Amino acid sequence: MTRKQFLHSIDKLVELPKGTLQGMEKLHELERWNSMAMIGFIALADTNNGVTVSPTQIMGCATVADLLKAAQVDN
Amino acid sequence: MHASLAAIEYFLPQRVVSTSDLAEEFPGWPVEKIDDKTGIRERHIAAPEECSSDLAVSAARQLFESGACTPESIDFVLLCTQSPDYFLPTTACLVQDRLGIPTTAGALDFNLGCSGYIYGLGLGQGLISSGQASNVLLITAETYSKFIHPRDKSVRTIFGDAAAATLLTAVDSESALIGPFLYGTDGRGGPNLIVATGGMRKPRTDQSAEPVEDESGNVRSSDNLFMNGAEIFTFTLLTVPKTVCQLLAKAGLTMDDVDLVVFHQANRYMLEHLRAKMNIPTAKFYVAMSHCGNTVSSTIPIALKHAVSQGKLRDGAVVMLVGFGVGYSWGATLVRWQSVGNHGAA
Repeated sequence: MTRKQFLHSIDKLVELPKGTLQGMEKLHELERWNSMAMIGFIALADTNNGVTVSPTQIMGCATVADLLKAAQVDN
Repeated sequence: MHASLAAIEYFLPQRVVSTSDLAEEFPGWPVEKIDDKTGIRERHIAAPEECSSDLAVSAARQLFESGACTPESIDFVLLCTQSPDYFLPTTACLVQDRLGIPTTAGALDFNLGCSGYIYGLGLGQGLISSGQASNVLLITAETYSKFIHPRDKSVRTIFGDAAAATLLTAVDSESALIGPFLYGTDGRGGPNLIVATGGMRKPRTDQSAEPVEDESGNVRSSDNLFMNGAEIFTFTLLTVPKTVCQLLAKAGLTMDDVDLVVFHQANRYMLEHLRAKMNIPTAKFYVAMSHCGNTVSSTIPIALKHAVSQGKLRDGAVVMLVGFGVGYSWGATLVRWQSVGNHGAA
């Protein structure tokens, strides 16, 4: 999955139109970034990159770009 | 002698909380979203005066009424619950009395949740193969609803109350019909699915009863059930696939040799993710939880009962059972299905 596709998947998790997120967005400012979205992100990273991102790692992420880095998504 | 899984029955309390009911209570949490995330249509909730022993007795009576066994034939009661009627006496003792099981029978409670059925099968197999018992009544009974705050949608949408009664009976077979077993424990996960107060460590106080709203709008106090869904999900991703591989290796089998796979029915989203991750064909991955939700240690026997009624289990079928969750605790085993005594089996 490309970086762009990953961003589109996160758009879907936080119920934003496809193409909204670019990476610099702060997670705490996303209205639908909640525990359910976090679980969806864990599943996304696992399915597409075979990477298990722990909740602790996620809590250490401030931006969407941080999430991509945690999921080892290529730039 | 070895244990044979001879019969299963289960009981659900009368009161039903549907997904539509929950959607009405929680605006912004529509039916479609709940169904998409959980796969649960209905949860059965015990009445205020209805406790785990009541559900246990009802399930066991159904087992007796099915003709699988009589109370007089039972020589050991194993009862898995995390919501006992009392701290003491043992709920299994109360169940023995109410069912009219002989006073010569052994009876004990064991405190496990989602992995409980696997551990119960292991304990039952051990009792039978060591000659300590011939007919073990394994009951799983839970009323998690009594721990759950009415304004905590994170867990109200998932958990339901139920009891299941399984007869494990001694048979003279060349090899074990249940096994091998694989167990695992990681107590670091304890805080992630917990009722923090009310036990000996932290007694209930006025302060512990104070409800607090979390960042997702769920309300609970320390006296209520708390589940960190993200941590539990991560735990399953790290543990379940490895456990399945280890079980197959221990048995000298591959997934192709397994006819049906029944995981602890936590929620549909998690189950489907695990199935896809492990490339388990949909046809052999059994899910039956929409009508009752996550009933903790009863999810596996309830799913097995449904599989039997749908003709999914023929004589000799190899069934993989995997339980995982609260503790953290996990277990897995294989069952060689015996259709004799399992009413409705193909």
